[in-house]
Amino acid sequence: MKVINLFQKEKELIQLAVENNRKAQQQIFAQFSPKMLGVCRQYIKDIHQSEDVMITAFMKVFANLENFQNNGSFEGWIRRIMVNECISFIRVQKKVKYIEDETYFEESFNNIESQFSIDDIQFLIDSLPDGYRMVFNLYAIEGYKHQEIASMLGINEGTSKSQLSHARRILQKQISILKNYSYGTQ
Amino acid sequence: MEPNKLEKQFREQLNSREIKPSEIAWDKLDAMLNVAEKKPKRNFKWIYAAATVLGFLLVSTVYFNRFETLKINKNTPIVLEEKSDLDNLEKPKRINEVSDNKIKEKPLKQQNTICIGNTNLSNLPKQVNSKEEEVLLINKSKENVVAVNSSEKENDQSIRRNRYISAEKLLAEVSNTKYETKAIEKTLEKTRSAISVNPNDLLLNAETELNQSYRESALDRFNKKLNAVKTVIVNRNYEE
Repeated sequence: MKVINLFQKEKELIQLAVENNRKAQQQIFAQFSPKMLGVCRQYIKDIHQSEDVMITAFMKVFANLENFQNNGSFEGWIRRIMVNECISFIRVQKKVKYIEDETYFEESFNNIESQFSIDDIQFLIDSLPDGYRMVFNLYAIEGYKHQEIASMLGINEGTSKSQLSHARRILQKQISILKNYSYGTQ
Repeated sequence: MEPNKLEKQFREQLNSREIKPSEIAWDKLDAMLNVAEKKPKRNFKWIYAAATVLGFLLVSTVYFNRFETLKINKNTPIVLEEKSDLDNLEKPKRINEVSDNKIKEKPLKQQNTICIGNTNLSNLPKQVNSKEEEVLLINKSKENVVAVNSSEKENDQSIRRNRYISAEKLLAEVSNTKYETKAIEKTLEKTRSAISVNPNDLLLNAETELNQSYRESALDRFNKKLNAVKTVIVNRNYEE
């Protein structure tokens, strides 16, 4: 019953926000902005820039709210808008150049058995160049397929695969540096 | 290339992460939303409706103008025919005038000389005779003037007739030779005189009929579409 009530509440909230009810919009913002800022921070190193991107993405959310069909998750819909806004921001601001290198290595971190704090994870992701970070985030965190990533970023599927393998290699190096640092060897 | 344990750990931790935005974040968004609201939203439905109406008008004008262009095309050859007739007729007219003038001037001069001769001769014996001669001269000159006028009238009539005269007849008239009209040409002339048709009137009638029929058909189609739209709207309202 609680779930149904929540769903009903969310539906009513969305309807009010569609009608430009500012309180409803503020409630949606208050509910989802902390998580969405975390998503934006995954892609953009600077917290202020990621907050600005999140605000413009919320503008798009409210502008297109009437197009949201209540079939899927509302959070997932907002998240997709956030990710797309981050990608377009990076592409416009930084003009990312992808090396058309389609060689990739089948390797994994399965041998790495350690727990990382969220700050460590953010540090590791921040160490990646923009192009690699985008592909890694989209593939490993968002769960998109290479074909989808290729169409999102306007690159080849092979390039997406090679970017991911390069990102993994860099991450492996960074993890070893982080381990040595945490154990006091460096 | 499958996501591994470490990536799963990354995903779980990142998805559960929350970063509190700054306090001014909502104020920024609120200001942006206010600006967006102030901008008048264009009602695109009206623009689409206007575009369809304009399109319909354009198509209809194109349909009706197509017949007007045909009308112009039909008129031009008729004008050309008239021109060709006039060209053919003007030349003999000039020739006739010239020849007539020559013909008419000659007898006048001759008569004058004769008259002058007579007066010279008659001046000597009696003055009364000269007066009589003068009267005669005036009368004769009047006759000549009348003759010229009548000949001019005849020329005009011949020009009018020449509009539908064959080339051979024209030649014969110019060269003052007798022309025997053939039986076929006579019948042709008869038929021409019998059938007097104004081509412009005919064309106008045909055009008006065509235009009316097309307008009626276009209106019928429009009415059908309108009825269909009405029924759709009514049904929709009923469903709602």
